[in-house]
Amino acid sequence: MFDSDQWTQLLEGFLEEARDLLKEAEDNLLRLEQASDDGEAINALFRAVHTLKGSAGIFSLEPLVALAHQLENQLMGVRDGQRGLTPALVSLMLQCMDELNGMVESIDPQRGTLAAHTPRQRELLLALGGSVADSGEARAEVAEAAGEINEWFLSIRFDNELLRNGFEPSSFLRYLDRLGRIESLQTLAWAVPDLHGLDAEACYLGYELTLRSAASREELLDVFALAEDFCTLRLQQQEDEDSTPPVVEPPEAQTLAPAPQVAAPVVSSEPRSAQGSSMVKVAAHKLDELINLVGELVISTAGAHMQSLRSGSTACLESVQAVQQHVEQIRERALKLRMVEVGETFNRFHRVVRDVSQALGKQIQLTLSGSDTELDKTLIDRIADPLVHLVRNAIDHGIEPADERRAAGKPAQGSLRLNAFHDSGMIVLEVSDDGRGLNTQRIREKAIARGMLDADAQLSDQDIHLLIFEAGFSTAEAVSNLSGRGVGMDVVRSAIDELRGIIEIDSQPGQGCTFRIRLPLTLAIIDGFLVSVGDDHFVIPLDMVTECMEERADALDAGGHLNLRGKPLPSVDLGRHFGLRGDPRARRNIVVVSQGRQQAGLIVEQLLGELQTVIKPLGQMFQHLSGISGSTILGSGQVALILDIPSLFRQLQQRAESEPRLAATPSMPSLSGESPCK
Amino acid sequence: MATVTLHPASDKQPARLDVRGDLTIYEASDTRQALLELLAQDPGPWALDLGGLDELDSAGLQLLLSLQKTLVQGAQVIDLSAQARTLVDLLRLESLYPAGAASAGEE
Repeated sequence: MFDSDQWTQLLEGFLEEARDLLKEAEDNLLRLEQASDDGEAINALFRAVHTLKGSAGIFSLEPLVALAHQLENQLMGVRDGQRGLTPALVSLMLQCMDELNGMVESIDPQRGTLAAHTPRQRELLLALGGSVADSGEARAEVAEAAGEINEWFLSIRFDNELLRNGFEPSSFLRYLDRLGRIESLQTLAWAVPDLHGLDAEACYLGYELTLRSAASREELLDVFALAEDFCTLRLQQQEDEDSTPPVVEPPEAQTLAPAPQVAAPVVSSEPRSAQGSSMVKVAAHKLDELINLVGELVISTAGAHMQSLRSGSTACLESVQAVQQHVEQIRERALKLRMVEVGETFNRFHRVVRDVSQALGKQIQLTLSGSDTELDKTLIDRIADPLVHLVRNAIDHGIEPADERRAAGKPAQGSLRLNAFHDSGMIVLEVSDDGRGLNTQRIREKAIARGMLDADAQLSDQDIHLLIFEAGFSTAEAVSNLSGRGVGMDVVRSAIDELRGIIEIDSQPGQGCTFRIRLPLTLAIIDGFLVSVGDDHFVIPLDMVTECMEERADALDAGGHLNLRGKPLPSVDLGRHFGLRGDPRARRNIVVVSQGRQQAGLIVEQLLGELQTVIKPLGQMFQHLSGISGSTILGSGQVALILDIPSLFRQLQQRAESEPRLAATPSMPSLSGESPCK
Repeated sequence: MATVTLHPASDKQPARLDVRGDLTIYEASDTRQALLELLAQDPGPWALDLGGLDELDSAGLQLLLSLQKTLVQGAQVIDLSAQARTLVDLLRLESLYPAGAASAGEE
């Protein structure tokens, strides 16, 4: 019924779902560990594992089903109060979830196979208290699901005359039950009148059910063939695992359950409550396509606006302006679609902190704030790993062991804080600890020993701290399996650079250390500042521009520095840098850009002002170009290149380093543009 | 036909309706009459003791649902025979599960 492409697609859908479910399960388990009486958490946890087992069954992923099954059994014990949720049990369950995660990641969507680590799994199964043979039950469930299973949604309404003609409605259900598995069923009894109005031999019932079955549409219709005059049947193949049957449920249906304690909401109502929130899952690439198109729309409206200005027709201009306004709104909404709250990513740090602090025998309290801050989904995905590095690093190096902390007069329990907030068009993510802070002296010594720094170089503490982000730098005396291998921090730096972000360190010896990451809100659109050299246009990300000024003649010295209010400012002549032919008579301007604490000047010809622009990535051919991060199309149809300021800064840095003679003299400005001692 | 007996309410217990025998399409109409007569004596609440049911089909089930709807004050099922249970299970009719058993499953 499915060709292999469709199958692969289904399986990929499952993988996505499985990851979400496992994450949900883990979050809820950790929540439960904090508050063991959180009934909502246990139910959500149970549902997630149960759904995972069910879905895995469809794809015959047996090891996954077996483990999920055992986990579910344990959870049932906890939910029903037969087992206490001890820390040991939580650890075991977390291990199981890791194992499940590992299995999910090992699934090959092409072939639908999965690599299970049998001995480890056996161990987990035993630890979970189930004998290995016990998983036979789960396997039976899977065997039943072998073959091409479809999910069908059936809506059946019976005619009043059905019973009088000798049919028994429940016999259809018994028959369907043999063709497959009835996943959920609702008997529609709202049409049953009260006793006074009841015709006891008329039929008032109807059913809505979902059925997982390998049977074809014809086979299912055949079930009702004999009674086809007496029922109305709607049969629908579920396209999507996620979509829930549209249950028609008039309000009277509720009054049928007279005793409130009769409702057993946990498993039977699962398909609806699990996906209770009205969310629509959309493939990320579809969203990207939409945003890309909206970007095109912005560009073409700008073009239309220009044309209407040129035509001089007021009516035309007015309508174009209306269009433009709507396009603006559409663009804002479209971009918001990509925004997700950072809290989801933050929550996973409970687990990281728990694991790392246990491994190191440290007590750590994690505080999260600003969880509702919104950020582009792609950014969140790509910043998560660097954040994990920073958190691990803080626990490993930053926070001292308990006795050392007590000796320093601090509480034995270390505190780690994750914070997110918006700040002038950027999002700021902070990882702060109350540990010992960075050891400036040791970093400096290490850097000198590794030849990264001249022994007599004058650097501010800030600049020394930033050295820990250089490749191959690690000051930990003992290499642990958590950090200290010198791979983490430079990976953090390059990940942040790629996202057009910057990282800063605030460290107070003995007080703690804060790593502050600043990221643009979205990767798709920037507020830019348009400049030109001759006929070539460049866009500078607006939030990096600090000021603009007119260039005075021969202001640039031989070392490439300008004098900015008495301070030397390393500068680049854009025209010369990119080998462009500018207009020699044109007046030239300087745009001062800053990145964190660094400043530099860009010498350009014309300043054309602000514009909001959609970033188009450069084609494959131009990907190695340094100094350019993308392009955009102006309203006039011209192409403007977006300057990659961080990479320009790096080039300036290299230029400064290639003149070591100058670097050693105190008069040589550091890139920070600030005085070295402070 | 099914015998329906209503044991009157005692000080704290609601009246208990005892349903015995078969309750199928063949008995449904007569049983409805019998129930209507009982309703005239006592408008509820009743506890439904379905432990003595022998055979139950959809028509009988419908009658029970209709009775529950009529007894707005309350018609808790306090017992359910094994025969009847198969059908109630199949149809997943929570309102016909014995009250005690359902809440025990939740603990």
